[in-house]
Amino acid sequence: MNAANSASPARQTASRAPRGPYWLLSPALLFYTLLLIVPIGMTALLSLYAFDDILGIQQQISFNNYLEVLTDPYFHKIFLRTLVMSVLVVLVCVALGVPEAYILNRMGSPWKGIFLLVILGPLLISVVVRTLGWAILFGREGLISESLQLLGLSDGPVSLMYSQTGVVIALVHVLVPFMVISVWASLQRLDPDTERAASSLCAKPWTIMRRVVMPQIMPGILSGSVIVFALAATAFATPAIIGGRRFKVVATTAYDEFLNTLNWPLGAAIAVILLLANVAIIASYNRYIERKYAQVFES
Amino acid sequence: MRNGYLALAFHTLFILFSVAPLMVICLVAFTDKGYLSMPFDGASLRWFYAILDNPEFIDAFWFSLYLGIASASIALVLSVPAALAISRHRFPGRDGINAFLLSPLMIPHLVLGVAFLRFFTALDLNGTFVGLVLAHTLLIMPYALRLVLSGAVGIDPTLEHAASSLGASRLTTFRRITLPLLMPGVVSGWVLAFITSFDELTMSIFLASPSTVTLPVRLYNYIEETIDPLVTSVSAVLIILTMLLMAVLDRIYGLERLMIGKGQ
Amino acid sequence: MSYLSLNNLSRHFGDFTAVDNLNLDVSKGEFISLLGPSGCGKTTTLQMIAGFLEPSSGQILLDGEDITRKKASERQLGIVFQKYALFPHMTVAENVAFGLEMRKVAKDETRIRVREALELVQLDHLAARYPKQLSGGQQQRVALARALVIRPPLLLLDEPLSNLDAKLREEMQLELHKIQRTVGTTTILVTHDQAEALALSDRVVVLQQGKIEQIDSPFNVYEYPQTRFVSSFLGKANQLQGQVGRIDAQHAEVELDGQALLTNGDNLSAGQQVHLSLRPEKVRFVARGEGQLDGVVSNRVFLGNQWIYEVDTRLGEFLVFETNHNHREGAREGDRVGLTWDPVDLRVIQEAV
Repeated sequence: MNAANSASPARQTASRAPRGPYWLLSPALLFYTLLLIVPIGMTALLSLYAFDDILGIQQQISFNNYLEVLTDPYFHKIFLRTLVMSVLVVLVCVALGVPEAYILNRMGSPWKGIFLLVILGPLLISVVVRTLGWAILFGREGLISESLQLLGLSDGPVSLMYSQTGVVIALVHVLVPFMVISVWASLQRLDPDTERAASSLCAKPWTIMRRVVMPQIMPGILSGSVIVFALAATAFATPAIIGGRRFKVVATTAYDEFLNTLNWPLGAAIAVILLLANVAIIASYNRYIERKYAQVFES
Repeated sequence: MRNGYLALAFHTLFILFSVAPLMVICLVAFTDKGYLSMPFDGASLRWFYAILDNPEFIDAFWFSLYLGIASASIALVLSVPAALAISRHRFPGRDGINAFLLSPLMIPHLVLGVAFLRFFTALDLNGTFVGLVLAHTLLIMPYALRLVLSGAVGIDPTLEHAASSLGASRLTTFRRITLPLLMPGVVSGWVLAFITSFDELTMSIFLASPSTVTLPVRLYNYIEETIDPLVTSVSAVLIILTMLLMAVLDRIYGLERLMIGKGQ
Repeated sequence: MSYLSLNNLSRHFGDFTAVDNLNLDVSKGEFISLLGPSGCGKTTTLQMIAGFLEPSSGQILLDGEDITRKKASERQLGIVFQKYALFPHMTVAENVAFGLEMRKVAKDETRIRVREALELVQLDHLAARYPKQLSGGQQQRVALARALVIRPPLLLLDEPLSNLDAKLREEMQLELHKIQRTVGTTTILVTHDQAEALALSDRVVVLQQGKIEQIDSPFNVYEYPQTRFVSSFLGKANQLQGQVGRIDAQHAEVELDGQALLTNGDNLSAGQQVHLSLRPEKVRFVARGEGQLDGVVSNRVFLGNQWIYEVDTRLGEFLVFETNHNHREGAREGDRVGLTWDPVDLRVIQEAV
């Protein structure tokens, strides 16, 4: 780095790369090269190939698949629908998950631990199972339809199946634990005395919330939002079961291209776009959080 | 600071929302009817017995179990040395390698499914157990690595210096000091990796063949056709098994720490 | 006329009594320390004054007004927390301005008062920094400025110096003393550090197990401890126990294990069992046989400004402090020595035996 460092011989030996760590890392790196770089690379290549209904995959390189995805109004609709759905899921997760994490954090033991288990436990159960529960609840003869009719809120049977509302509700259920954990983790770092200090300085509860608590847990809310958004935008099982053919999103469309239409190059192009969008969103969000909060929360 | 009534009401609704779909599954599983209904006007265990007549679910369960055990174990074997390298050493490219090893977290499972389908088709590995194990290992590596890493970072390096000053060889130091201290991270990393593999659907659905079907894929395919009480009783069994596992895990490690490993 | 009064204040946590029927009157402008070991009830008392804890019974009066049931946010007190509790997402200036903002003080006046407060703690040059970018001592000063800028009727300090290293702590003690004298705010300090309490306060309240042991000026608490707990908690003391023997106009004789020691005999009656306390720095070495007590030096430690000796005597082990001003080494381990002191320094503790 600077002249003094490079001039000192002791420093030089110390900073010479040791071989040990590379040996320790080599099995993992080899595995990743074979099973991450090569398959993704092959998929990127595949997305440039052409597809013919009769002849199948043609090895001619072109950007036609990307052009098709980016210009066809059908795909526009699907990408837009996925975006809107994911944003809705994030908003509802914030609205539910943030207060819940805060309430949970103020509980005493053993309730705190028990409810944390109840909220986080479903993460360990397969998404298929959790979505199945909603499918049963959403049906025309499901619990929600019947209670809406019972309460006089609806005249006939209502089905949330194959609707955006249904998909959003089920996805919120699947993803809200991530928001709770994320906010919970940042609440753990919050010094409860700062709330008391604000109160001693005459701040009302609502002001304490808005001026003292929220800004301190903002990094948690933001990183929770990124996780929820990324997982919602790429979710497959829930939109597939609840949304079905009528509410198609990017993931289910790519699946259909691959396994039903058998247009692999087009499916690969959708997958690559999904990957790039996902990485870009996560990376820029992380950059933003780092830049905004580095000064405040790092020493 | 205490929660007010409004807060507790919100909390109650939230918890209800969290458990509602799982409760519904468990209730419907006990119905004695041939269609989806609540068991209040007639309960039976007939749909649990029905699982025994449908070996495709049982086969899929065992398949997922073997798959999870194999891939979690391989992921751990790869993770432990990597975690030690990253936690103990400062070397050029350290941060980059760390980010690279965690990068599968950023890749949608759908994309991994597409990529492995393409890759394994070229290698003629598609629809094989080996292919699924390799794919699952990559998918769960970040989870395993992260928990092992957080365990390794917490180990005071002077403990190892102390051991060698007392005359222990490097191997003895590793076996008697480092590994036991690393054990909580290794165990929790393995468990989280196993559960993630066992529950995975989106990637596996691209790679499964009729002879290599995981339980989530079997359930999904079944639900695509029809939703009947049989699929709820299978799900109920899964929910109960998961709850038992959670209780054990909470005793051993503290579920909260494990979950925070999954969330971030 | 007392400014702050705690009347029969008690606080129970289940079966545990943290504060037991506490009575305290504080005058305006006074600096009071609540001193005691952890668990003595000092923090509980502070939290009740601050309004973070409700008393189980009793009353708190501030300037004639009953504030016992008032919310913390309405008491308008200045509080410095143990770990400072600075808002990490606000700059130093924003932290200090927060209380003024809550009081809807005009922007211009806020700016002036924030600058004055930061000048008072000598941090005006760091106004734009975030708390995490400051040292522990600087954070401490910000917390003080934030508490003082609202011109509170009462300043509460909760172990404010306990997170600083020893050297910085001494500096901050002097600083805090100066600032409190400058602004003249009535102040209550909670601490377990006797040096801090003695250095800063006008009066020290020694607490143990939720009860007041003694309220007195720092000098009196140290020189005239009323209980054995006070004599041992504040500084070191050689504690003895004996029976009062002969009494004359000036002195009383106390019999200890066949040995008679002289003390001043106020309010004593013959035959009474009493505790005695003797500060180690009041004891001097003399030739063997010439003092009140003989012994053998069993251990000694050099601290730079003084020597600490342990001397074996027939009344048990005696602690002796000797200032390092003789340009030579004092007694050595194994030396046979005599110990002497002024009979006035052998204090009788008026506590039931």
